[in-house]
Amino acid sequence: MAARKKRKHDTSASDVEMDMTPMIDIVFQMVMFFVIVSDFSQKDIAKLTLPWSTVGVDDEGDDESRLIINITAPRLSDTKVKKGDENVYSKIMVRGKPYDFQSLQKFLELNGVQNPKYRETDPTKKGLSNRSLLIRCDGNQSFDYVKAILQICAQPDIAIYKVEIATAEQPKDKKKAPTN
Amino acid sequence: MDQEVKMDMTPMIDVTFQLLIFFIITMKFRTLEKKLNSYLPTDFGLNTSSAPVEENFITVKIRQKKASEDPRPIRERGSYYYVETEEIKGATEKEIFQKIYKRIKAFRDQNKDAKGKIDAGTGVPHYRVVSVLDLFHKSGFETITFVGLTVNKDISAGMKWWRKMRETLGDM
Repeated sequence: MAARKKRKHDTSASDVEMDMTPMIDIVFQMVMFFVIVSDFSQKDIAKLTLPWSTVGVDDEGDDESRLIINITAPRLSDTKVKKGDENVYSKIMVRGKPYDFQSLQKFLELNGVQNPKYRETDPTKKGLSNRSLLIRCDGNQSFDYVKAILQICAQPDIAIYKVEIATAEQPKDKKKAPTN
Repeated sequence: MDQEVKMDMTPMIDVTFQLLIFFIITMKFRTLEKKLNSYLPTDFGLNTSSAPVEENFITVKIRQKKASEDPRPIRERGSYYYVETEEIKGATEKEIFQKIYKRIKAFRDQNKDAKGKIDAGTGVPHYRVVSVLDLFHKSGFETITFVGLTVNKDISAGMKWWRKMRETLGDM
């Protein structure tokens, strides 16, 4: 008798309870969305130790068409990495894909002034590409790579002149300094 | 009977919000970076002829130590710094950069049209070049040029140069 009374009481309480299922569905949809979006944005940006600058301006990253070239730098004298391991070698990465001199030149030709989508409309800047290019080079990497990229960009059939070099603010913690 | 299998939703919602906050914070990562705008000259393309000697230029030259002086791979070795032809010496890199800054600042203060030139040899680490570039910016230079090497437009020659550079750097 007592049990039946209790059940009756509970049934009336559950009538006013909310159904959580749609909310959880939506929250998980949002989580999935953020997982996918954050994965995409990280592909552009390789993990590097950027060099310091005192006069660098904040990078807003608001130019959607900007190209980002990453140059990684494994420590060549590091005994922990075995020779023959592909991680030993420096890589030029654009959107998570490795490039060499030849493929980078072809990639920039497709994305430079020869592509009608990326031409400056201003008549005083005729023959130039309106695309900007961010070079993110590891502080310990050789400058030769950056020099080569600058020279590829300056070629008249590419003509990308808006070049930016990524730097970082000097950290207070001195251990993080890019140094040999 | 239905009421006995009901789940407590609170921990799940807690975890979900933790995840949301985590992803929002990691997405903000890229705005923390800085950049140096270094627009290339637009009046001429790749200038393969040697640059004419101008009085307005002050050159900072950086060269890597030789293998006999430092056995490490080339880009992990120390560097020699020169302003014009004079070697700049110091106990630490910071001291050297301060001396270079004084020299180029004095040159700039005397000459408002002064232009900077950075001559970085093979294997010089990027951060040293950026530090010198930073010093030029700080002293008020508007035009800074890099001494280039002649990379041939011809792709096969370019690839040959590329392989040779990577071999020199020990990057192959």
